[in-house]
Amino acid sequence: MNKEKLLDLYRMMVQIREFENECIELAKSNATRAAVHTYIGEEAIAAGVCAHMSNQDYITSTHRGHGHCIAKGADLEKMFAELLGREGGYCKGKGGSMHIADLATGNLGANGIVGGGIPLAVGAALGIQLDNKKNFVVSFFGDGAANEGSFHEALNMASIWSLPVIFVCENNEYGISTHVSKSTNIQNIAIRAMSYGIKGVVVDGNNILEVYEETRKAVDDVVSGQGPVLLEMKTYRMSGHYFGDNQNYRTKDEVNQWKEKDPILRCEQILQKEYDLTEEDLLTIRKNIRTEVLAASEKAKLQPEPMIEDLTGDLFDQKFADIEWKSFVKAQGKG
Amino acid sequence: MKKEIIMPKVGLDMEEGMITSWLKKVGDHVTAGESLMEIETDKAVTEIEAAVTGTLVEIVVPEGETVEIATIVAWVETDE
Repeated sequence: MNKEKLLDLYRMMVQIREFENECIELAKSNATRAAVHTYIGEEAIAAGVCAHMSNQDYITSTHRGHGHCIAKGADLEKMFAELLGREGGYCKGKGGSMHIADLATGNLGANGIVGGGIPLAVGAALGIQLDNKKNFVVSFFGDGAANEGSFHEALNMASIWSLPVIFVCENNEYGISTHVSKSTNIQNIAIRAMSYGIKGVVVDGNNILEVYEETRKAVDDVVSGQGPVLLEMKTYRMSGHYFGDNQNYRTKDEVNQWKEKDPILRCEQILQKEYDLTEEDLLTIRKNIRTEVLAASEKAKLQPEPMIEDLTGDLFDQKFADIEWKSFVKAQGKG
Repeated sequence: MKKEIIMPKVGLDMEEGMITSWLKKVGDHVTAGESLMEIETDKAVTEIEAAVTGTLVEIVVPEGETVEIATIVAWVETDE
């Protein structure tokens, strides 16, 4: 990978980290009111996957979705505004952290329901296939969601129709406070792909180069009509389930061991060792990004709150009532 | 730059919290991510990490005292 490309990925990861750090500060002071679930420790996945996507390629996201939104190109001020319940937010301040959607960048939305986004991604991929487009969909979800019925139904349907969708399981080892070993009887969730006759790959989700490369291969597969791919990204939720979680279900040693495998740290090591960047270069990048992120937060704080009169607005869109639904018959077998 | 440390809201319905112990003394250096204090809410005891790196220059709220969320409990002089 050339230096500029890796630096772009590094900047993206740092931007996500700094965004999350600021979210924690906002949550501490009760400015977000609702809980925030941070993506700290998992940044390489969103950055490495979304780097292959255009605004015409779709994602579905999760309750831990800030990283996906940012990597897909979201505007930070609009994100902060949404978290702060301000009128200029992505959902006019009425949705909060877990409901950010941004159709302009192909982000079909975060989802507070575990596993809720996976079937939606299959629908979007069917749309792309019916329109004969060369785009694709990525569905992000966690290890907990892989035990939901929606995961299995979605993989099954996508497999029989060879839909252009990449299922990205972010296995961060915890579903709230439950370790994956207590909820799942297999070592690798990726082997579930076998049940549906599709490709399943285990990826080191804290290694930006590996995430980028394995995603590139998966994109080639799904776009060329070879059917969906399941990528299991092995990672770790370095933060609690939400800010304030006292994490009494795991040890500090465990968290500290994973902090040594921090994807940003590992990327910095590569940049210094193989691309001749100095510690000072990296510090300057981090400082500049931090300044930009904090500026977006400050601007969002100045925005007005939504009007009470608009409380029930946006619940129903006449445009959807007027759609003329067409039936379609799917050809038998693959494709 | 002097940066305030507040009583953080760590639970959805938390309104106040008690500082059970300061894990650093005035004059101590603290690194972002290091545990700074322990607070108790009606739910649990939680260690709170520092968000900034610097020197703890003032403790405003002593151990054993209960304050509302977002109250300033200490000041850190940052290194930057």
